[in-house]
Amino acid sequence: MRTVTYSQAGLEAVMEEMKKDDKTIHLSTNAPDALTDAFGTSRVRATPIAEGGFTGIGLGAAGSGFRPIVNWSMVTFSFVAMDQIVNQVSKIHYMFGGQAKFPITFRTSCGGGGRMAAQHSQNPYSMFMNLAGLKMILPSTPYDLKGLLKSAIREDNQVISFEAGNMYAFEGEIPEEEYTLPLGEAHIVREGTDVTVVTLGRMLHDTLPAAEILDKEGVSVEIIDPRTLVPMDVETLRASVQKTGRLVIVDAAGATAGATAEIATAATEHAETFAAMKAPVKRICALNVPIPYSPTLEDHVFPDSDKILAGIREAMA
Amino acid sequence: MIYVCENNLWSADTEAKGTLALEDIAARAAGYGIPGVIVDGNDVLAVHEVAEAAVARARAGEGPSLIECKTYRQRTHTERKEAIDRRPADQVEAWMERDPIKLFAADLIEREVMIEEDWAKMEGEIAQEVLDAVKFAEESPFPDPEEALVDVFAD
Repeated sequence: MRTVTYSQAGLEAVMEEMKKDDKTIHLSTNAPDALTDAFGTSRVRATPIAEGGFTGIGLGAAGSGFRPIVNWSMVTFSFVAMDQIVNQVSKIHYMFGGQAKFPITFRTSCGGGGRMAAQHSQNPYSMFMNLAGLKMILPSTPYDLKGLLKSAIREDNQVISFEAGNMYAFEGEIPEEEYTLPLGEAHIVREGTDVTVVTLGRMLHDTLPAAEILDKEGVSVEIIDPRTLVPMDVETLRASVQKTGRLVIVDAAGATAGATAEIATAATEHAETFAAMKAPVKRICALNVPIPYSPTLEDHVFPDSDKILAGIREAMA
Repeated sequence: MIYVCENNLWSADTEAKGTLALEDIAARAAGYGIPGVIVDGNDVLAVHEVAEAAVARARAGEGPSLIECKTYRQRTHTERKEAIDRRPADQVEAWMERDPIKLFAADLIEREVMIEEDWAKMEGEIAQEVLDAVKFAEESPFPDPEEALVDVFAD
């Protein structure tokens, strides 16, 4: 094993997949030097600041034998390309009657904690989940990012990688040898018997300390990281909730129509899982406001270890 | 309608000429059938002159204009301390020499509109005003966390 940052893990995934397949190309407004140096400017394109343009170009290339990686840099900028994403990217394979494949991966940072105010601190993945036809990954560690991103690039589908912007310097271990992680398989990060806590993205790291504290109090916490939001691994979730009888979901996005609502429903609409539940579902989410800039306000809006601890205790009461 | 493009020649880290086929944004105006004017964006009076013409055109009901002010971003894109500046140092230096305020001051002094001492005094007063504002901000308490919930909607 060796230690790399979240940022390095993402870059390695792209480098390895570009080395493997010369039809893999990269589009972004700022071309990373490491990629340009390794693969040249014909495969690594610095684009004008026109997300609608290069999102569409990427999709067209995907339908013409290429395997593009399009980096929007921040999810903020993906909104400029919403027409392409909503009306083209998500529906195109279906509207072609499955006759053409569009193997394209979009990378984007998301989330707050960086004191970057409302536009640059969003976690809007549930907006995209609502579109049929987009797969999406939400990696919480360097290991997960590298493994999931490699699978995303190899997918013959349209995939979005939502990467926690304030985690790019976060370090973690990855194997020396090549590996991938499958889309659609949740990761049981910590086994427990009293309560299932599903954490989305970087919320895993705020939940782990809370689980350790509860462990000392005799509460055994099982932590599940879904890793991919679409497709969602509901089997692992349901099996865990059937075992523990309690479900807590932690997300740094607002609760309203959020991924947490989908996860809660996946448990409660399933008869056997519902029957095993001993308490209502508890969601610990960001407040439903645009993310404020001031540190005191931003910290108030996002979940943290203390809020997660209190939320799990509430579910246990 | 007057469109003003403050063309600072760079995106965050990429030089515009690396990603645009056209050198002048103003050339795009032709595609919309409106005038596109290029001006030295660091020359205060030159900008005033083309703006005056565009305003007169708009007020006369003759339609929109595009003004492209060629200028430069004096600092990094993000304004963050840790930001890496990827622009060539000699390019930054050359444009800093052409700071629009510095140029305008020299022009006003040369035309004897102002004397150097008055300019220096005004600069000092403005600098003090900015320093006072920074001090006020730094000495002010952070907002009450509950304020995060205010202003999502108009009441």
